[in-house]
Amino acid sequence: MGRGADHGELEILYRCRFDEFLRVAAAITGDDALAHDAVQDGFARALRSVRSFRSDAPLEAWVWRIVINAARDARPPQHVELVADPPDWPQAATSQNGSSGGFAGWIAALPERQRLAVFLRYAADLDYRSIALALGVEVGTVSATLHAAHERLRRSIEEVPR
Amino acid sequence: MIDADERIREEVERLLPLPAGFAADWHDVVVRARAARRPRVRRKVGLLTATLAATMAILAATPLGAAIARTLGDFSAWMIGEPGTPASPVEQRAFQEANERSWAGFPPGTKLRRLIETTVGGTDFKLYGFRSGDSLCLRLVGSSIGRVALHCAPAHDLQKADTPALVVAADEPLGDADLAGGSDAYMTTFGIVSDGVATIKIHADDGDHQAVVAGNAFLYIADHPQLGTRVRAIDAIAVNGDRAALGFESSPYGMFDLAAPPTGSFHGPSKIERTVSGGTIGWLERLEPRGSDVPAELLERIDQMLTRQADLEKFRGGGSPKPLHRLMARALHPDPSGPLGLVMIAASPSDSMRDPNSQVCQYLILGKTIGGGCNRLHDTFARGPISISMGGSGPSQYTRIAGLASDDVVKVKLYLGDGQTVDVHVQDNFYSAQVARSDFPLRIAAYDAAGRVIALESFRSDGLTSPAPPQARKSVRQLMKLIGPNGGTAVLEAGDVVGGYRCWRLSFGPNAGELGGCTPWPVKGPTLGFIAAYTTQGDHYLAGTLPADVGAVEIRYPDGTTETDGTTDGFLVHLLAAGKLDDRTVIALRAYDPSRNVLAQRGLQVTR
Repeated sequence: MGRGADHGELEILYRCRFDEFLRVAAAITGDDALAHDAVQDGFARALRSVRSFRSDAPLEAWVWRIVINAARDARPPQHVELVADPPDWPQAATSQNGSSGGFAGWIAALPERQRLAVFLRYAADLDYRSIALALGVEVGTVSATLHAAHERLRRSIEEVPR
Repeated sequence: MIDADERIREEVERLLPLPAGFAADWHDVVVRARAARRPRVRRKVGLLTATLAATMAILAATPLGAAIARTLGDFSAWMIGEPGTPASPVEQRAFQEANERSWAGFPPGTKLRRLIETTVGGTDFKLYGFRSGDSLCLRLVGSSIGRVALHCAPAHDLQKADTPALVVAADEPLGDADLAGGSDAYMTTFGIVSDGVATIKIHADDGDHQAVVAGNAFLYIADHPQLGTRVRAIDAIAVNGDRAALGFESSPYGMFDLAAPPTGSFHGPSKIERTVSGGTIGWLERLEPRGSDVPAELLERIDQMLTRQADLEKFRGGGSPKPLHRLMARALHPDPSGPLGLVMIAASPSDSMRDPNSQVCQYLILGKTIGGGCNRLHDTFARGPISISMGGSGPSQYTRIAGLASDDVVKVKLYLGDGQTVDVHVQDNFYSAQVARSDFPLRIAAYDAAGRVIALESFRSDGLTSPAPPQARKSVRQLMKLIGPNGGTAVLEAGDVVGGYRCWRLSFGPNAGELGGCTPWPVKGPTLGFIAAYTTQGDHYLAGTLPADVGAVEIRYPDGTTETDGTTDGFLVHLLAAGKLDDRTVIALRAYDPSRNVLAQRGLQVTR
């Protein structure tokens, strides 16, 4: 039986992690103001239901999922992306050039769910399980995405001596 | 070999710039949480109504009269800034006027709430409260008492509190000192309580008392207590009879009444991951105006302080060979909802801050008080990329930590003694935070843009503690009293050496200051290094502590005459011959061991 959470924990999470939520939300919405609205609305949704939160999962992963959904809801229609994982997604990496900018380009070219996995790992410091919970995917998918990110980086560095 | 994670992190940092112009606003979240239950209303529309609705919603969710176990709901009135009842227009205006007189006050429009009214010893007291940003503040006013007691707690302390009440200030003196009785007129203790609290019990040196509890606050006022009487423990009792002891630190009385430092472990990072040197503040060097203009009256006051500092430097033979010009003065308020500000002055003998003799002056402003000084910009970060100053008072349960951060720093984080962390906002290279005195030991870490630790400072306590055992303090007694020809006195008091510590005090009268404390004993260090000259009422004393091997000290005057004084249990207290001193006399001191071997000698300037 998991424990419940309270408003205080949620407020602490909000105050400590506001910047990270805002940055990731901005990556989803493509608009700073919409991102801010998404974070505020996401936490408002979480606040309304936090007392009923009963899970062994981390509170933070639960809130990330809500905020990510809020950001997707807030996104203008033309920004809607295909979120299903295409079978060849790691190939997208090899089609980019190998510079540091190429690595960024590779991340940008990833399907959204995988790109978010990278962001949640490296911008929000979430562990694999929390990322999987936040994105509604298997832990193995998260692991594969992050492994591919490492591989891509390694190739970037081999191709462009620094 | 590369650190792949670190590189990916750098790339992600580049891909995800932080949107500018958006600050965390929890109150807005609360408002949206309530508003979303109805058809979607655009933000900023009917904000007041929404706030009220949110208040009602949270209060409705509050388990009034429930068990004493804390949830945020218990403190919800405080969290939304609406404890008690609204202050009257007259009270609100008085608060605003006082606030406007401050150099760094609370924002205009801060709403005062009336919490408690009580009468003690013929004086009417009113306790007010308000929330301003992350500060939860209590303001105590007494009729016919000029001074107001104002103390604030950070909201994060309420959020993590595991007790149903928080002590915000203990034994804050209020009222004119009653010199005949030897005590302050009133000693006040107050704090914040959650809804389920029925009674607050005060355990003081003079017995048990009950505080007034109302408006989600408590207030205890001791009327003319005997000098040194202190509150030692406080209990909160719930309506169902459950009792909880509140964590707090007694206000020290004198220099020996200090609690033992906390024994907990330090948390957080333990090593610096990247060494940074030569830190600076770019905008200050470039004379780029940040923050806001400095009010004229405040600038005038600071200019006076600058002039005094220049005179002092001249006297010491240091400072710039040319006069310094003020190139820029800016006021920074990293938390616009708080009463703390910083004035930064860029001063240089030329028109550039790149001049090697240029100086940066920092003045921390809290309400109507100001303190600070100047040094070379690069000296500010000579020890590391952050400077740290701690401020507090005995009655306040919170210590303010503030300082400057070099351009290398993007984040400052506090690691509290209970394992919790507090992220500290850094804006325009200035940061500040409040931590409870009971949150020590404290570690402060600064991080660079890549998330690496570039500064670490650890503090066992806020300084208002002593590791000396209680017996070392209790055994203090008078060992010597000298009275000079002009009536100036020197009194030596000291206790037993217990656990390697000795508590002692040297006081000069009448009312000419004192020094001492509970210090490691025997004294180690330069043989005559702790001897200084003190003047009171025209009488001159040599006094201080000496290492154990010193048996006597010889004093040689400019006319060649000498006096020798034996030590008193590790101390020297000696009345100098006033007739042999002129305006600035340099006397020679020589320390001997009991066998008359010379241990050390030095010169000492005595200013008449």
